Amino acid sequence: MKPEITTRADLIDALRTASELEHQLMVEYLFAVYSMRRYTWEGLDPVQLEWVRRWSSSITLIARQEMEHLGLALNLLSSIGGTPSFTRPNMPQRADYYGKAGIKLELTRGNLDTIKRFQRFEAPDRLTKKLRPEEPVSQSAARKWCHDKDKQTKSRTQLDSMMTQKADRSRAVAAKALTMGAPMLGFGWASVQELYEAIRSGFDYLASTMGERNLFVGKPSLQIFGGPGSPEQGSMDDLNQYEVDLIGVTGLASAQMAITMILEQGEGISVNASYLRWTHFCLFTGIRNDMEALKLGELAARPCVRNPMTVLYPDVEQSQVTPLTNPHTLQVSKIFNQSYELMLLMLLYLYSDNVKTQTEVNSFMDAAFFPLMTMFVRPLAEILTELPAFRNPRETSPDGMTNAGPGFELNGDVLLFPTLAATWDLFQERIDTIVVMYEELLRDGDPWIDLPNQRESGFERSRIWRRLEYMRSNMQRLASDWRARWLNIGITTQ
Amino acid sequence: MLILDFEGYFQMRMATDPDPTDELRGVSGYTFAFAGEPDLDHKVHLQPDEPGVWQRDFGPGGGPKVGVTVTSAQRNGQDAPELVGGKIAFVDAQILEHNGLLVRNDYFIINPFRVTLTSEKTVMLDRVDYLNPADPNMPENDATSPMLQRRQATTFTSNSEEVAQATGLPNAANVTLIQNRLDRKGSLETLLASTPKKNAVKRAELESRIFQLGIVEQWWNLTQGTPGNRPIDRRAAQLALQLSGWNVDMNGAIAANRLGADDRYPWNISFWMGGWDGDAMCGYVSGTWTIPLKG
Repeated sequence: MKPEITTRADLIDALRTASELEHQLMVEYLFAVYSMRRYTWEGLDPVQLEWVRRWSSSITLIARQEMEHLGLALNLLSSIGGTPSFTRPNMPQRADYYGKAGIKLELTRGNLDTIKRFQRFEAPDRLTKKLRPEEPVSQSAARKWCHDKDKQTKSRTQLDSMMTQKADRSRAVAAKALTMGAPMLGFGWASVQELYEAIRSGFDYLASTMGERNLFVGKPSLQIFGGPGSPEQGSMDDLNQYEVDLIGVTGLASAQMAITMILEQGEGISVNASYLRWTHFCLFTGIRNDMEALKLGELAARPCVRNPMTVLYPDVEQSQVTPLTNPHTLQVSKIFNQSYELMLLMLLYLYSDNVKTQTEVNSFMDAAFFPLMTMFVRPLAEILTELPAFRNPRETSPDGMTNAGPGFELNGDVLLFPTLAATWDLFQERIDTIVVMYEELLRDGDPWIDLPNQRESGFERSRIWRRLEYMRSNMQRLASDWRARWLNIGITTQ
Repeated sequence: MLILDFEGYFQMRMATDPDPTDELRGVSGYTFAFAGEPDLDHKVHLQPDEPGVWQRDFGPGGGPKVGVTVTSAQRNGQDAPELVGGKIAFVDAQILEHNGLLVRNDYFIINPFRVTLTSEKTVMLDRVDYLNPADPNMPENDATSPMLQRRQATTFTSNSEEVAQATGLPNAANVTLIQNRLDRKGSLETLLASTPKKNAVKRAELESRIFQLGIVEQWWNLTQGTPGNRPIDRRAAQLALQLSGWNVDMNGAIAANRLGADDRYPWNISFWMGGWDGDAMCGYVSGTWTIPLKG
């Protein structure tokens, strides 16, 4: 039975589950996309590569919108006084970790099987109800859904009204279940869609019983959003420029809008007909279609092992982990994991009530958070999918894979430093540590020069070494900038 | 004093946010090296014959052609027509910000910065500017704030009429910018229709460009406007965006000086860049190089 949300604590729990889930999906999508082939020397002709590039663009777009959904879930959480969190379990986990929702937490390369899995994650309930766990969605049913000519152009008001009616029905079913003594244990929803419908229903219920003013007790300044209502609307700092739409949550209407948007972008529930092709479900349906037609389901991705990890964590499905044994790959993986965790810590700081001016928030975003994602986390992940997973170059995984990949490993909870006064210095320490890790990695020669296609005329070092050196130099810049309290930044306003 | 006004289209085949700045093919931004094209080189090319330039076909509607030339020249207040048509180059220059690590808020710096004037295949002027004259080989990541400011643009202007006039747009209104992208899309569709099926690589390139040109509004902005009436997308908006205020007193070594320039003083160059056409990966540059003469 679906758990009903009747208290603030229930709603906070459900939103924390939602944010954890969005974070997990984002990580799975990123692993898959960073494993996709990029260059002609990887065995694809230019036309095939163009297809793979289009799929990669679509999947990075979806991953970016999962970041947006994570941000929206955290804004929803913050708006009712909850504590934003980036804690999530390491991969892999058992198939029923999220109960009947069937979301298997694992990192797999971007081949056809993975795309089918992702398509199911984002599928509307209607298409998954009769499926066995892990059974792919029917592609003909998916295509029909994505080309539904019956969908008419609807106004935002009509869409919101439809969602409210749906949530009312959901609440009625859940209320009935509660009177029958349904337990509220674990992940009780059958899908992501059902979870968000329950959350929407919970917001409606609590706003009507305790009043909006009492429900929305969080400080709006602790949320991260762009566009209308944001101090940076339309400026270079507006977050809403990169195919995301992060809105602030200040009351029931904006909460409903945030939830509607998540469901529109993901599953395409009640979506306007013109938007249907951009929904995550239809984008994955299109990729699956193309992969099958072009027979690129396996060739699209590098031969990356499943769930590559630097250590065996006690709380994961250890039999499904691929431990990395190549020493240099392990070093790169550790830098990746440190950078990823640092990025989450910085984001958590932005959601905290530590004293910050709008200028400080913008600087923090521009100088630290964005570059950490785009200039370090992503390129390191891409490099990892090119590196050997194993010490022995002839070794393969049981399914014949040879390359590593980003494990997105977390050593426990992601928690903000408890002392505000020391926060700045603690961040400095972390950045400096990463600089040292790069220096140690690059100090002793170039272990990658003999890997395929690493030599380029005019360059003594391998492509991978040069890219890592570029990152080292940039991390060094971030470290010195941080030390100088961001004074070495030239002009910032006109 | 020698005063050289120059303008024209440049090319910079670069990745765009949120791709990392060393991305070679383009994935998550809106600029790409498409099928059959070389990797992105991230360099500013003012002349079409520079290695790294890749000029795309635009179909019957046409498009920008790379080439920045001197449009007027004066020597000590007198016209110097023999210099008009001379070719200006920014040798190996990049427009940089390292996604916020080097400078913030897209106030790009230009680096490295070496400017040449070539006439009839003869290099007439050639001077470099150093971020740090005391250490010419200093990496840009070591630059201090004053060093960066010398090389930064200072002003953004959206919907710039000056840009529209330079690039031949009827005006800088959003509706015009959107129509321009749709016209280019139509032109490429015509080109695609006449491209034989056997030319699969060309067709793949055109199909991807047509798809990108179809994005003229922020379709993802579900909370704003209605379909067909949402905020303009950057692919269209940047056609009339101007980044101005570059003003550098060039301080470095002189490799060519055939016009009697005084090497004891800085040579000032000021310019704006704008009118970025993401489909062509070209923009417009307009500026003045002011050079003291001996005697």
